[in-house]
Amino acid sequence: MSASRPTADIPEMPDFSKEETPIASGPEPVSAPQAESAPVANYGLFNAESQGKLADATQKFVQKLGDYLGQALDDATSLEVRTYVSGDIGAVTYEKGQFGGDARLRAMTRVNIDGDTLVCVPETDGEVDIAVWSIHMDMVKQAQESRAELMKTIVSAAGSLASIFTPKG
Amino acid sequence: MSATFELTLPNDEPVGLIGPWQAGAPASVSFAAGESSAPPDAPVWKVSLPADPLEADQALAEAEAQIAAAESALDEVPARLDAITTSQPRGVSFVAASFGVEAESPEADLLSLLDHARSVEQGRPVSYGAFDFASEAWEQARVQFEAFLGQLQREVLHFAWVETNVEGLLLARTTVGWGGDSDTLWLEGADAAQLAIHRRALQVAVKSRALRLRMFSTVTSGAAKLSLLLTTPAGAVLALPAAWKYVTDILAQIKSYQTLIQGGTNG
Repeated sequence: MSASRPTADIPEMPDFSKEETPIASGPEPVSAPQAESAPVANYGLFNAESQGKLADATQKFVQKLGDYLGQALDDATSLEVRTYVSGDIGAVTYEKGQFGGDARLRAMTRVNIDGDTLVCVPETDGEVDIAVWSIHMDMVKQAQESRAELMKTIVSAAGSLASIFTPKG
Repeated sequence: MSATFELTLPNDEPVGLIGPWQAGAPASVSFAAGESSAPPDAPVWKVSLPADPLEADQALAEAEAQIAAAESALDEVPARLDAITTSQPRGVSFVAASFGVEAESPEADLLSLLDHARSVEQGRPVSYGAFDFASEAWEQARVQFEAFLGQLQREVLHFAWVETNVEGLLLARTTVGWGGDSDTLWLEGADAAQLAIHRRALQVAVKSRALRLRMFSTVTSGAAKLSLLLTTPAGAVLALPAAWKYVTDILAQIKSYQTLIQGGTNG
């Protein structure tokens, strides 16, 4: 059983969204003519700095997202679902991608893309714990459905990523 | 108590919330019983429901309906944008009335914003009052979209942490990665109805997370369509804030409508 979540090895990326993004100022009121309308220079609303930052942020994000989504698809060769129980959830810790402390691992299923399945069945006094097993199987089914939906979303998102920087014809 | 659906992001107020979700209280380090012990970098989706099973069921059903409505609305965005981009010849100013769109609709606001963008691009006369308004709207959308990008970037790097509480009692926690891998911690002795509640809450959270990614792809592909109406080489990037505003306006409109009809049903 894997000891860590699939995301754990991904290095932290620079957080470009936290860079200072000065808000572009509007037109200077002092320089506005008296007339009610007038030709307006191409500044403020679409100034180069503002556009450049947005383009840069989007491009970086698209690149990182594309890399990550590609990795998510590569990692989608197996699905792992674990079920824990605890009498006191408040006392349960979460470290290194796993519940710990008061949590007890009761069932685990790993389904590989080729259909091979590894199952750890919960038992109580030598008998299969039907209640926990039933909950666990429901969670496996839900995880399979969620994965299928997520993969669809990821593929669709990946398809749209290129469009934003493709020169228009 | 009334049901709440809260999304908490580390050190950040969530932007672009969908369906029933609202911004949760900023995460604090706490080890008190019942408090979240989520890793500091994990997005936390917390569902709190009333003890009455019928009320809890209704709250979940409403959340599911809101998510489904948001999903349908995003599905329709490309066709709605096509209706604008294909009916408007280049070089003509965008007048909402000529499209037969309703005043104050997302389309009307979008056309108004694009018209202004075109005017500025071409140096055509622009009313200064309108300039300020459009400039502000554009800038606000740009700032929001950048914030959304930053949040989404962090979200895709981490698994989601989903919690279900009933009347303050923590029933279950699930961590779920983007690939679908999940770990669920159940409160020992929880009954079948309580288990079903968490499964539904989890599904709402997972769908909502996927929808945030879909929002991004809908905005970027929408901006690409809108760029056809602009003449600048950086049209698609320029159009990103407009597309963001358009998509979030549509989602806000859907949410208002849902709240209205759900309020009517409840009342």
